[in-house]
Amino acid sequence: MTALGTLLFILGVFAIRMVGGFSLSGVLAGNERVTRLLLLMPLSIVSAVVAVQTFTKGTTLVLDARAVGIAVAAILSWRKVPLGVVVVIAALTTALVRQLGWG
Amino acid sequence: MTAAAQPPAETVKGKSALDLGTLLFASIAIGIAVTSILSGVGTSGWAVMAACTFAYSGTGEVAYASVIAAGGAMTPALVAAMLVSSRFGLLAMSMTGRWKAPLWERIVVAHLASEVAVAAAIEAEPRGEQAARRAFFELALCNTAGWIIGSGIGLALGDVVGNTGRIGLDVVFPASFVGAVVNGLRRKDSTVAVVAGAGAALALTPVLPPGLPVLLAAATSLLAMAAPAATWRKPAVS
Repeated sequence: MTALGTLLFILGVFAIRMVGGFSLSGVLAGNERVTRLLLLMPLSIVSAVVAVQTFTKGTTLVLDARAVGIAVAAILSWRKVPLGVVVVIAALTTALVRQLGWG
Repeated sequence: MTAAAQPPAETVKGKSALDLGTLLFASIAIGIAVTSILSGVGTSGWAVMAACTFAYSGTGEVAYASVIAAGGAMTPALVAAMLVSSRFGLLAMSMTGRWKAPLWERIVVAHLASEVAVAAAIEAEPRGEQAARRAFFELALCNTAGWIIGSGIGLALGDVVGNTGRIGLDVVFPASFVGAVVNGLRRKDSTVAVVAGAGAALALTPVLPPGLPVLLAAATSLLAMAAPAATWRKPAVS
């Protein structure tokens, strides 16, 4: 990342955030349906990010050791295990599966 | 108010010190992992620190680095980074009007609206605006602080970490907010958002440039609006 690239990257992401944070105002922000949508939308996004980070490499779908680590993380999270424990066990599981020669 | 009408103690308090400490730890690990990728394509130390502090988009950094690593130029690398970071606009939008805030706070909230912080705020919202605000800032500050510390450590360690995949660092980032996803499965409408969001992103991945699948997957929340806002069954006595 060059100096110009870094600057443009920072400004670009900041602009994206500010456009998002300030594009809804007045009537829309108080609307009940909009409020409900804004509760559901982050879940769609977060779920999509997890799926992409787990099952893809570039533009191809792959099933590898990451899937095992994330599956373990999902089960532990469902059982309300503290976040740090979830994260450490997910990483160790993935590393172990790789050590065993898969993905 | 009778004692029976009060919510259980567990739902009243904020995130525990253990949760925040572990998030800090996870964020440090992510910072180390992302920094090693960025350093791998010849990014100088100050640029790594500036990007993690002010852009605050790990996936954006990784997207940028992967285009450069593949021999791409700066413009396509920036476009990839912006596409991947586009979800932060929607996450910032989803924080609109959750509590009364002056202009400076709205700017800070929009800037810090990461997956973990937004997920925590939404989880805390049934307990009131102030609970949501507190949860948001607790998580956002731990996330940012850990991120910056981790990037610094990553720079100091350099090649010591080596292949981040070997020690499973590549799952640290998604594992740190998979909790919000599985929590979403407890209600009908959010289950639709979770399942359709992941499905759409995966289905679109082979046909669209990185970042766009996640951005378009956000639209599945419109589908989720059609589902009832209820849990799957009455909570059992536990």
